[in-house]
Amino acid sequence: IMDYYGKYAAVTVVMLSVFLHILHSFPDGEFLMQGCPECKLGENRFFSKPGAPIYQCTGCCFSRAYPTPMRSKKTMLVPKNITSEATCCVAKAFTKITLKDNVKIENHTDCHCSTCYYHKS
Amino acid sequence: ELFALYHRMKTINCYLLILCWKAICGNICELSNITIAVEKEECRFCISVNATWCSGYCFTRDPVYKYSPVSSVQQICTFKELVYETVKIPGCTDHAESFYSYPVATECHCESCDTDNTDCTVRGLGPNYCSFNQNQGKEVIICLLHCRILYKND
Repeated sequence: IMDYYGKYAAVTVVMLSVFLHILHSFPDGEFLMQGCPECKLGENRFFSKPGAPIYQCTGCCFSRAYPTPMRSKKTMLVPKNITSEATCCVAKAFTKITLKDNVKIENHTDCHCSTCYYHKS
Repeated sequence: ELFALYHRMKTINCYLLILCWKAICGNICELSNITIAVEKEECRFCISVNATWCSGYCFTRDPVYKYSPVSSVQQICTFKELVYETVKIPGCTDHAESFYSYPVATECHCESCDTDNTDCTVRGLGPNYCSFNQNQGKEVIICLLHCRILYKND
């Protein structure tokens, strides 16, 4: 019985530690999204080079889906039963960088939740 | 007393496990209760119906290289499973009652927007939109079924 008690006490302590670690790893406000980080600049490790970091907008944005209002359906060429309102984490401002082999990329400088461009299937 | 403590600790561990799982999970896209408006155009009123649909946050990124392949697709909060429910709409003078079927989500996830069945937008009219002007004829009728007429034009 003491073995079981000891085992469960240890497991409880470990899980509490994990939870507290996760809690403290989020800056203020981010925990409100319960683990979904806010939309902000992060380094793009694939394109970044030492001394020349490339930044990319990544993070979570709000979206929702609901039945299409009857009014909207009447205006559709091909009526759809469901409407999706979505925002994605995209660059608000960026600079253009040309790499060797004439490859052009963006270096994001500011981010926001706005129109999605790559969300349709 | 030790047995009681043992069982209590099992429960606490269970709750902590769920808490850790919720904290670790990256996306919070889930079902929520909404109210949708169903129009009866001939009678110029709308009824209000409760349903569950999807809303929340999904992780997305803006690709720095715009010509990369499909792997940079952005995911949005949308339905994974849905069912259709039917509501009875009351009639009015010269128009009998009718039935209307509407989709209800039963499960949600972060996924790309399926243009086959979804109007993928940034902003729509909202689920509770009703075409009929709220300021004209403000009679409120309570239906007997699980619906409520918002207002009626005379």
